[in-house]
Amino acid sequence: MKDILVFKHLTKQFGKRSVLDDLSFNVPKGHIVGLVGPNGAGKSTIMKCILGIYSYDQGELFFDGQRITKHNVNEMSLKTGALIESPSIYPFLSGFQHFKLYSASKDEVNRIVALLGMQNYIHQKVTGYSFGMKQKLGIALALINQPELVILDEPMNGLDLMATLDLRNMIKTEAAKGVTFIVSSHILSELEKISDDIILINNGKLVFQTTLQALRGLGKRYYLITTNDNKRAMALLDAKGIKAELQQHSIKINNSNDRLTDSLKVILTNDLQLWDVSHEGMDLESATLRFIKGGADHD
Amino acid sequence: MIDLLRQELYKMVHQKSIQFSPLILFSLMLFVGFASIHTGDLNDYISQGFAAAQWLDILIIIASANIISMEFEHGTIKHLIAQHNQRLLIYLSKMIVIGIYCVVLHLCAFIFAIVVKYAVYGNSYPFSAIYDNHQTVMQNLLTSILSNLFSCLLVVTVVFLIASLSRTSSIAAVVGVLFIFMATAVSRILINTVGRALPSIKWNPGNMFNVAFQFLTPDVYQQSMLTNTQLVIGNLIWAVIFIALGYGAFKRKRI
Repeated sequence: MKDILVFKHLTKQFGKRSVLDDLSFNVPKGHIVGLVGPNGAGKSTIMKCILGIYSYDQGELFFDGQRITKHNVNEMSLKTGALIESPSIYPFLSGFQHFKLYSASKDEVNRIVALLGMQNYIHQKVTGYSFGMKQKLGIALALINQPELVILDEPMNGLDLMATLDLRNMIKTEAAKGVTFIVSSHILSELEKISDDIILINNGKLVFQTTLQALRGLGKRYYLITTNDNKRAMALLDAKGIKAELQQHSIKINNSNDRLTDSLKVILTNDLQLWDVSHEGMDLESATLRFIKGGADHD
Repeated sequence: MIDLLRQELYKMVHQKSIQFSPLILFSLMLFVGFASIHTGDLNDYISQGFAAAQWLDILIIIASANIISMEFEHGTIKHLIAQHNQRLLIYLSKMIVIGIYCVVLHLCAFIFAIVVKYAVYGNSYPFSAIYDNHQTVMQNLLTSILSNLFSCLLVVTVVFLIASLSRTSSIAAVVGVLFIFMATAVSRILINTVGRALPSIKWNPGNMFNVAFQFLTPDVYQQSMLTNTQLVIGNLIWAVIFIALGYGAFKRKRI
């Protein structure tokens, strides 16, 4: 898969503070990439570098195979639509007038307005819009003029359940047509539903880049076994050399060496009652917390 | 650049404050016209366009402060830069659009002055009467309007600089009004106090605002100590300096 965007050892400083520190990652074309990190991690700076709002100090940035510098940054920014921090809207214009301001074609406006269900208020002045309506307009503006890359920063902010569902479907539909999305959100469960890839950054550094499938696979290395006597089961496993960890209501077993079968044999042959066997769930939220806090053994 | 100018014009004509500014200007000029009836020299009011210069300056200061500050207040500057990538072009296109607004508003002021004159004074005080500088009242009015239009170059560049340095349009507008209306007074004090020891002080930017008055009232030379040509050149030089400083501030403004 060809990459639409490649960051190579990118560094950006504000004064003496490094906001992007030797950052490298790639964004495959047509993928939906979830950009995750705590506040101040550097997510907005990454987005602003892509839009040409900030220039970078060191490293290289490639868009569709072309190296981007401050002299040709519009080669990238003109093909990118974005909603960053808050919707870029003028209170004295109506939603429709915003589309006219940015020269969107009538057909395209109709398509996007219908896609986001904005028909009822698109001709009203933005001052009368609710937060969610403004957010939708911001998303719509990011999608006009057929961008190849769309950046959405906290797009679910202020959206109700139905609108969130519509947004999710819209992103998937557009991605299926080849549009690439970089989506940043603190609602990780929502991000998990749409993302193909996850990029986690912290303190301006890449923590990891992985596919969502691989991230979920991490959890499958651990099993949780519950018996009628977990303490005794733990002692028996220990005696057999099986590494396990006693938790509040279960025993956690690392299955990286395929020890599940051996563990179960030990429990069943010693007349213990097996109440439950399950995978330890590894969702995006637990992965993020785990890697941000450190000590994770991702490979 | 063409696209930027189109966008800036589109935004400007859709703002209520801009749409109503000719009406506000007309109302204020009409008020001055009626208020002047029982005062002395009515030709003075006509030739000064019923204080049009002062009203024009205030309206232009507000529009100039707003056109810069609104982009930062509404967060739209991100979209603007992402689309065009050159802050200099963004800055200049805004200045050009304000320039167009100045021309339109001055044209309105000229027409309104004629309307107010006939509405309030009737056929008395004809435009053809000889008044200041051996010119007709109409020539005086044209001189007043055109010299004020030229002085807008400095007004706009100064307000753009202040707006690029300040956080909100209201701060920029208030500081702009204070700066522009106090500039000539401060300059006069400076010239009177240190003018002999430091003759170049007469080239201070505050003195340059006298260009709006000196063409109509040559006696202002006693205050400015600069000829008309020197004032014009000084205005152009200071405008270039303020554009450079303003652009520097605009470029560095944190987004």
